[in-house]
Amino acid sequence: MMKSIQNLLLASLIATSLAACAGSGALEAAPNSDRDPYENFNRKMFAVEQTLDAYVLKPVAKGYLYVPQPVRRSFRNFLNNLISPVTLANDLFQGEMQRASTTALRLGINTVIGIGGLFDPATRLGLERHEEDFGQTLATYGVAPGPYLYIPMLGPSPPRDLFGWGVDWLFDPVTYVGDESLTGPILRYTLDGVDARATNMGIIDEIERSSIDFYATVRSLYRQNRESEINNGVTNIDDLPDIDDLDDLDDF
Amino acid sequence: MRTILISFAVFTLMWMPMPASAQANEPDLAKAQSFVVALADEAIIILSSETTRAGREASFSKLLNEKANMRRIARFTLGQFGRKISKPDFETYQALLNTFIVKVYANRLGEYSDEKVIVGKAQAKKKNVIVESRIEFVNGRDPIDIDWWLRLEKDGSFTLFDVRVLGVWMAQEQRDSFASVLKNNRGDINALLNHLRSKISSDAENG
Repeated sequence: MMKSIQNLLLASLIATSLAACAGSGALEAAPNSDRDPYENFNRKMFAVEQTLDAYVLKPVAKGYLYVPQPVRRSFRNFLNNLISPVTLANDLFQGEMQRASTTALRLGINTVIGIGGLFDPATRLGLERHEEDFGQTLATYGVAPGPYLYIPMLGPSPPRDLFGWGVDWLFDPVTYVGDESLTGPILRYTLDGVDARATNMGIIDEIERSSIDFYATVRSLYRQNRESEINNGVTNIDDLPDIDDLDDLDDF
Repeated sequence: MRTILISFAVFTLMWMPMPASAQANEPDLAKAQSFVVALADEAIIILSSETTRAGREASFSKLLNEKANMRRIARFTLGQFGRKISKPDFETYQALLNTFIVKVYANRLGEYSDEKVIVGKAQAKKKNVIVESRIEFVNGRDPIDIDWWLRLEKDGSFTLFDVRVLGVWMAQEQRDSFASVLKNNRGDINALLNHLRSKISSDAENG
């Protein structure tokens, strides 16, 4: 019964995301850094997130920092290894065979030699880690992100990425561990979030402290970082904004 | 015979590759890479040797004024509002922005003092050059890729325009935040100036 409800919830999530994606076709024009039609709602959700962060996530992450660094490093390796099958599936969906073979080799080496992923000998062998998700796969097929949405504890989640998140859930082996399909992914997601918050404690606090509009800063960071992920981190000078006209404004 | 030889010489010269310095407006990529090496070295020296916050900010400010075109950055971070602003307001904004950038990045970069910078390939388009680099940490942290956006100036020198860390261009991030403040205050530049003043003064109080 519980499983049926979970599947129903998942199906609804996917259906909602699909509908939102379909509706975003007209927005496929050049990305506008300010495009945020639900800004008022998003800012309220962002405020909820900040409250949850202040009272739950940050204190837990601070406590986690008492765990010795090598143990945290091993745990991070373990989490990275656990998500590898999702990356592998999306490497294949994107036709990135070289990257798929890197992910497959990493998964094999780190699981066997790295004792279940606790260590990362693959990186030392020159097999660099990368992550892919179905949101990125959709982007490579030309699907636009849709309107910006902020969901507490999920973070920036435009419809394309929200839908991708649901698909990745289905491809994630952790989903099929145990009787409850939601328990594994939620547990992994929570632990991943705590570890990421702890690891980046200093820089996140510094960005919040120095931002004149923290909500807009997070939105910009997300959009730029996401674009970079979709392009596999490759820098293309043709993608830069044209700044030639700035030189014409030198004199008043 | 002489005419044929001259024609051959002219034809040959036309197809010979010209030295980089002789090509009009073509940025010299090796020179751009050297610029980044020198800039990164200076930044690391500041971050690792300046022990006080005031000292770090003063050195960082000097470095930025020497190596970056702050006027161009100021124009860019104002976005479309840059065309509407009055000269006195722009000068006030420029001064506040310079202080704000120094305070923000001298602290944000504070974590990156134990590093080694490896400069990679460069690519150019018109007056723009992107130099790729990788920061490797001594303490075993994951390396970080950093891109440097340089601009060829009229005198042939390079200036820094923007830096991309983990896929995020810093000046673009500031432009997005400033645009949000301006939009939510109906384009009132004084709102942005006051936000900047407020951040700078709260930073001074907390520092």
